[in-house]
Amino acid sequence: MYTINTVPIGAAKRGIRLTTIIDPKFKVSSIQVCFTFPRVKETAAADSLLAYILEDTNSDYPDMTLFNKRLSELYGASLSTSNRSVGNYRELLFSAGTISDKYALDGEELSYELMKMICGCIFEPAMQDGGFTNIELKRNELIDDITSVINDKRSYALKQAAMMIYEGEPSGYPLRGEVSDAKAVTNDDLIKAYNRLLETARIEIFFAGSSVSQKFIQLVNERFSSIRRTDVCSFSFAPSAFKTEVREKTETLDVVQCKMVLAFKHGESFYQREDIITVFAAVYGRLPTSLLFKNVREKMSLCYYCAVSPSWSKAVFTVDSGLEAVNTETAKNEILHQLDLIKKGEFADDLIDQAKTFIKSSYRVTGDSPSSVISWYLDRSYYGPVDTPEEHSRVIEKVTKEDIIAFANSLVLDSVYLLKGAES
Amino acid sequence: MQREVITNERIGESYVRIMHDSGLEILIWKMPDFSLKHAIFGTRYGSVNTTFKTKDDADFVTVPEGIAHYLEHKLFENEDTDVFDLYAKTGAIGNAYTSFDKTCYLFSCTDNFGDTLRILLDFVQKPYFTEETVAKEQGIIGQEIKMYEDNPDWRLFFGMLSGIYHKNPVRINIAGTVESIAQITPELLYRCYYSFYNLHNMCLAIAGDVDEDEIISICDELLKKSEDKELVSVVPEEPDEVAVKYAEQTFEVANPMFSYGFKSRPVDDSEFSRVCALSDITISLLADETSPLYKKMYDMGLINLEFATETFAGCGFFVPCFSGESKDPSKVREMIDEEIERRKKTGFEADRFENIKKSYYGSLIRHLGNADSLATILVNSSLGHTGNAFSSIDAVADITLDDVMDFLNERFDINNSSMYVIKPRASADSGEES
Repeated sequence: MYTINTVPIGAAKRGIRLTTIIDPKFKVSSIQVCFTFPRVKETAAADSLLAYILEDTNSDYPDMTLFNKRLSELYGASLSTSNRSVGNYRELLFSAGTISDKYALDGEELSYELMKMICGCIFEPAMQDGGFTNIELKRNELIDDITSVINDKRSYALKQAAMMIYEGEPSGYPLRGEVSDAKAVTNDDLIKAYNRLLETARIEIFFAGSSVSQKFIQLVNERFSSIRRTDVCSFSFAPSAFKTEVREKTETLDVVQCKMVLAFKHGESFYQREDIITVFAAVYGRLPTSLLFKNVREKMSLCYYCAVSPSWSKAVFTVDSGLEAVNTETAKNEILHQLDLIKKGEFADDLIDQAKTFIKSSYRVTGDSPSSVISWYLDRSYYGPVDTPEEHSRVIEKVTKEDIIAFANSLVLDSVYLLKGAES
Repeated sequence: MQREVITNERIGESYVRIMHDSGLEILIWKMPDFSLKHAIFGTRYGSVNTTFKTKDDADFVTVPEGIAHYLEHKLFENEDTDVFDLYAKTGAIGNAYTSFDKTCYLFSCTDNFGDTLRILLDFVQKPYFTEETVAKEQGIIGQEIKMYEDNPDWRLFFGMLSGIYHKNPVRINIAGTVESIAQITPELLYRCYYSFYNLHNMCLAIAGDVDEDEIISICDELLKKSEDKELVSVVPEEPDEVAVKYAEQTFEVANPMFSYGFKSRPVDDSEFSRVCALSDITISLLADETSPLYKKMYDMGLINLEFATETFAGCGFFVPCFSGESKDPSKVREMIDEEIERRKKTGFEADRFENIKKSYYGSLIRHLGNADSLATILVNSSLGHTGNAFSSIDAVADITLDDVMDFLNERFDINNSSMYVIKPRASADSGEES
């Protein structure tokens, strides 16, 4: 079992914390540094491009080849950045990992060396003449990523649906912006985005591994306590607004299989009902014994997948599936029919027990790997009291059938998106 | 029953290998203090095994493409119950997959391991196929096939393999086609089942904080002793040369995508771990993110971060390959070819070679804390006959730069390579495959 320790870096109001999670059984170490700040349409591309620029160079290793060579020396350590959406906020996340120091063949301090590289990326990015280097190559990468969403038709359908579901909200604009936004980003925009990041973002630093050295903690303290901080971001998660009527959209592309997305809204924060929603999701569609799997896939043979996923920060529930054009109406009706059955309480009690067993089991597994235990505590850092997976298992146990019925009755169909092939 | 402990001094890890009286090989990797327990019951039966015979058969039979995958789906349906319902009662999550050369049934759980293992061993040994249940699956698998047809990476990969191989069934989609699965009958499924799901052709691999005695006791109770049927599976004889050097198609993608492979002779089981490691190291030296070639192509804007290298290898096939996105795939091919020829003359830098070996060692260590990774390593080592689960770690430690150069000279013939390209619709000249 791991031990966890969270300390502020400097005064609490500076919004910077270090969490260390130590378990001697871990074979690898994982480091994450997460900057969270508001999602703003006008700066979407600059904020995103910054993640690409800071990812694989710094002043010690100003060239991508040198940078990767150093990672290679650290036993093939990984270090990457990502842009992620958390409702109306966005994360710029540094994720890194390598093998535990005990496996280093020559006694190298791998976690410390890796943290030094991350600090270099954050505090001493590769710059020349007052500007970031490699802007054009990184801009091309960003544009490639924006345009290549079309390659994955399921992701494309979910992205297009999100534009409709969250219309008029920060989440209704692409996280990475549009191609035209990316083309317009200047070095000044990037410098502003960089300064805003360091000054205002909430910063959560996580380390999970078999042990942590004082040297590592000292490095984090020294580097992060020296940042100038103003107007540090605080969080308020507003549920996505109801529409006056169900919005429907059909798009045509050269696809073999139709993709359908249904979105339901709840109107109140999911965070306060997390236990109920987790069980509801398992009963409705997450498990192979769930109503959607059993009926839409197995009984009616309409699809290979029919997946449910809650957006916690926006209080939205989506169901997405890939199917024949001729079956879309039948599948939609069945997805709604199964929800109606839950609303009426017409489902087996066994399903709830199975869902709880599955959820508690998945919570127990959280402690098996450094990255999953970090994910748990990072997710929970956005809301409420930070409880352990074990504590959360006890809460799950108390969810009743009535809770699930009440939650199902609160869901309102918001949007239906269909991506279909030209021939269909 | 024979039992041995297999240990690797280099990393201080060990696992247990048991040859059960039923004919099944059982591998157990104990992971004290970990919550997740993972078990895989696998057979040497994949999409390439379309022509086979046992000692009971007069002649070889050829079955429809995709039947191994179809059988995997149908085995989850027993006469009296659905396997997922049984798993749900123990809190386990079950799944299965079919690859080119194996089919594996697996589960993960934290509690009730013994009861869940009983479910796994029971249903995999209890086939039940009827006209009605077989027909029902065509809709679901048909949608799975169509889902992959919308996946450009999938199209790219099989496009490249079709360029490399003339006849080897590895060029065919694992799930078959809508047309081929329409030919599948209960009788064919039973024939395949009784040929390949023989315990002599299978393996049970388990990783987690488990009790070995309990596992053996359950196996003693449930495994049905089987006679070795002397199964023989054949693939059509394959010419040494690639089928085509270049092919392309158009599809709904953002940028042109390419996959570039080198036809290389298949490897014997005993050599498999070493030669795969050699291949991985060689293609890394040629073109990973620390290589001059990568930097040159990246700085020219010729590749982006999607560029990747891979050794695609298994029973009867071996293809080192490069893939990615590029506005000019032909130029990428030209530069890779030039680099191969240059390196054949100049060799590689010793410091990069040592770093890549270190990285490879690191990637193997990363599996150690992960029950599903370890169970997968175990099952692969058994079904692939690759010696033991530590073969890769030992092989990497012993590889020299001279070995790499021999490998490069022998297996990277730029005149026996094939590139497949997917062009975006808008910029494409035509919508047809050539």
